[in-house]
This record gives sequence, C-alpha cells and structure tokens, in this order.
Amino acid sequence: MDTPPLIKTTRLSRSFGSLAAVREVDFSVRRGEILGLLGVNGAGKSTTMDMLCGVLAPSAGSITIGGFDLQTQARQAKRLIGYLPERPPVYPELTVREYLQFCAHLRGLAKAPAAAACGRVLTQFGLDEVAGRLIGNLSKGYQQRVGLAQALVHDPSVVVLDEPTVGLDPVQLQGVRDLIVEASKQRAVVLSTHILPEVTAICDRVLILHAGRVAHQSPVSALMNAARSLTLRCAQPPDIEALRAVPGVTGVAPGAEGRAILDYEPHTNPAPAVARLAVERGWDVLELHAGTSLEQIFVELTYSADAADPP
Amino acid sequence: MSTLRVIVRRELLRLFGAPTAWVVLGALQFLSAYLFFIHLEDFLLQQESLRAAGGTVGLSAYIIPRFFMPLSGLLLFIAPLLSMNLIAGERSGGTLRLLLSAPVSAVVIVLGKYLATLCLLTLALILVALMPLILGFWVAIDPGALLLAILGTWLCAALGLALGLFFSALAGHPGIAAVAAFTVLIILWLVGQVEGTELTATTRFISLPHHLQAFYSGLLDTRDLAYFAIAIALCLAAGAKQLAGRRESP
Repeated sequence: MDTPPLIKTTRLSRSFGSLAAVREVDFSVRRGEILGLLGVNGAGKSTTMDMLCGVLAPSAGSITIGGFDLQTQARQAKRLIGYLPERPPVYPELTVREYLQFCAHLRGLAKAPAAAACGRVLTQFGLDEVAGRLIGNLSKGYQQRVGLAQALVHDPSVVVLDEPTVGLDPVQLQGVRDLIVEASKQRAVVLSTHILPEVTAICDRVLILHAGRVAHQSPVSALMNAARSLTLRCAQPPDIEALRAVPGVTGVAPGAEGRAILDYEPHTNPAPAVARLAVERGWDVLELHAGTSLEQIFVELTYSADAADPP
Repeated sequence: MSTLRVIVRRELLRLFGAPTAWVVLGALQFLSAYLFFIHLEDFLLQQESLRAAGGTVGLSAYIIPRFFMPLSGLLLFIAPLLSMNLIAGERSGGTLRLLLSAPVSAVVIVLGKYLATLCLLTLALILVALMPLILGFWVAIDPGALLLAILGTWLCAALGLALGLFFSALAGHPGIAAVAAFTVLIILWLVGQVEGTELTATTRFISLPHHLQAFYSGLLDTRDLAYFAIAIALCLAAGAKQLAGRRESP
C-alpha cells in the first residue's frame, strides 16, 4: 500500500551567515514510520528539526506536512505538528496540568476537548500524580515527559522529537521508547539522537547527517545487515590471516582488549567455523558473539563523507 | 478559544502570578502619591501669592501638567522592564519554539503579549489616576482636562511598551532589550529639550514631551494622537515581522 508521505522535504537548506548548516536534504516520512536522524554534534540535526516545525525558515527548498506547504500554508501545516525541542519548552511557574492545557489551547483545541486531551496524555505519560505540581520543581526526567506530553496533547499526525531520551534513567528510557513506538503507529515520527542503539531499537529508517548533508539514508534493517559482525576474544592472540580465510568473512579488524572484529557477508554465519578454527589452533576462546557495529558504520560513513566533501 | 485570547490569558497569568506586577503596581502607586502630594502642597502654598498677584490659576491647570508629565516619564521607565521578558524571555527560556511551532501567527503572539501587558499598565494608571479624581469630591476640577491627561499618559505608556516589545523580539537576552528600549525612549524624551535651542520640524515631530504637552494643557490634537498611534503600530508590526521573518536564533 502506497500512502502519500506525511513529511516531505525537497532540497532543504539553511545557512547562518556564511555557514551552511543544512544543505539540500531530501527525505520523506510516512504514517506509521519512525525516522531516526543521526549525526555528530553540529551535523545539522536540530536545524533540520526546527525547520520541520516552522520555527526556522529554510534558506532554500521546501517542506510539506500532510500535503500543506509549511511556508505558504503554515497554519494548516502546523496544526499537524507536535514538537519536542532539545530543551523541553516548559514554563517552570505553571503546574503540569495548566501547562498542558495551555499547549492544547495554543494548538486550537476548545475547552472541553483540551481538558479531555490533557487527561489522556497525563495518564499516557504517567504524569497523573504530578499533575498539580509546578514544572520547575520536577526532575529532569519528569520535565522531559511533560515535554513529550505537550508534543502529543493535540494528537498530531507528525511528531518531531529532538533527542527525546536525553537525561532519562534506564527505566524511564525504556518507558519513553515504548511510548514513542506506541505513538508512531498512527503518526509519522522524526527523532534525532546520537545514541546509536536507540536507532536500531526503535527506528524504521535512519538518515545520517554529516556537515549538513545526507551522508546515508536506508531502512534500519539494511544498515543492520551491513553492520553485522562477529567479535572474538582469545587468551592467545589469534592468527588474523587464518581468520580472513574463513568462508564468508570479508574483513578482520582489531578491536578493544585484543578482540578481533570480523565482518562477514549477509545471510551467512561464520561463527561455527571460527569456533572450530580457534579450538584447532588452541587459541582458548574467551568470548565469541555476534553483534552489530553500527558505530563503525557510522564512523565510516561520516569519514567517507568528509573525504568526498571537505567542509 | 481564539489563540489571541489564549496568549493574553497566559501572559496575564504570568504577570500576576509572579511578584513583578504587584511590585510595579505598588512602586508606581507610592512614587506617584509622593509626586502628587508635593505638587498639591506647592499649590496650597503658592495659592496665597498667586491670589495676591491677581492671578487665577485653577487647581486642574496647576496640578495636571506638574503631576502627569513626570508620571509619564516614570511609566516610560517601567514599560521596558515589563516588556523586556515578553519575547526575549521566551527565547532564553527555550519556550519560543513552542509558540513558533504552534499554528499561531507572529502577529497574534506579539499582539497577545502586548495587550496583556497593556492591561497591567492600564490598571496601574487607573489606580494612580484615582488620586486626582478623588480631589473632585472637595474642589472643582476640570474632568475633561483630567481625562485628556490620563489618555496622554496612557498613550505614552503604551508607546514605551510597544518599543520595549520590539526590542524584546530583536534581542537574545531580556536585559539587552530593556537597555535598548531605555536608550531610544530617553532620546525621544530629551530631544529638543536642550536649553536655548529652537525646535526644528524634525525634533518637534519626534519629541515625546512635545506631543504630550497638548494633552496636559487640555488640547486634543489629532496630530498628537496620530504620533502615538503610528509609533505604536510601527513598533508592533516591526516586532511581529522580526519574529516571523528572521527566525534565526530561537
């Protein structure tokens, strides 16, 4: 089934003076999809997100949200957007309930629907017991949840989350990820992060930004296949050449603490062969596991982008 | 609920929920009471000599310019302090993104914030104006002249607020917005007030006290009304344009 994308950007660019923060970025996100924006600090993630939400005007290019052009039909387009910036946009002097009601009214909800929507997100985000407390007195984790609740209170079709899991403890982290996945079922979600496992955990597609350009864009599953690797750690240093000769292995790289990281072809698994080899040669295996080295892919992609296009 | 009402309500809650509004109301009341009683006493002291000289200066004519002119100066001092936070505060607090990503035009944001703060200044002015109004119980004062003086003072405060709001939309930090607004207001206040110089057409046109003078001498001149109306509209339009157009460092 081919539905029209809810978010579509065309040659999206933004400069600050002579600095080109975002350069000709094209992507689209459909309903039910989570797009992960990855990139090092200063790659242009937040600038892209600000433009997606109409906070910044693009220098060139266009954005359509649910078919509405964000520049010329801003009001209709913005009605569909929920935005959680990097820093939760909360008023410390308001209570959680007052704040969420204000946000609902601001997005055009009338009194009764706004109250109902507030009740819904308060429960959804586990904020019921702090509803009457001042936001300024809440912990960072709770403030982040209030920020998420504000982005979803008007039931938007498009949700843009700038590093939504920063500052959360591991329990809250899992809770917030679950909420994002839950929210994405009926929506198009764009989230930015520099936590790579987060992308593999919850995103459907990944877009790696580097120096304002798209360095890589693919479904997460494709990236995972490309990033498949075996990690081997032995008491005796293994013979790299012998490992390279194992069928299916495409490369061997040294890892931390004497580990060998083996890349291999998709749809093969050289782990049994590697184990046999290690036993035969008497390397004394301490560790052998399959894992993804998304970090490695990430570093490679950003480096190759640097090589191709020096900033 | 219209979004303008939402913004006005939010801003009123912010103003009256914090100590700011109450301190402003209290301080203004105290200072203007001081001003008022000084001039009232002056009038009582000079009444004898004025009468002896055969003059017939009434209480309204004596007290209105002497009380309201410094009062408008005082309001011009307070207005940028009230308006400096309106947009620069949202910017430094990170909440401007919430407003800009909402389906609300920049004009509505600026206007909502302006109207709410103007409500506070209007309330302050009403409380202060009660003092000369109460005099009316004992002596005959000219109600028209008094209302005109209140209108002039109100317009002056409204202009200070609009200018402060413009700089608040421009600046990244509330303090910078306040200092910039003070500077412009002081220039508008002092221009053409240098002793011994003649007012040229330009300085006459931009001088704030020059336009206030008529209000305090019981004259309603549409040129003065236009001066305030145009200046306020310009500041608000420029503020909204600033917010909508640049969107550079939210």
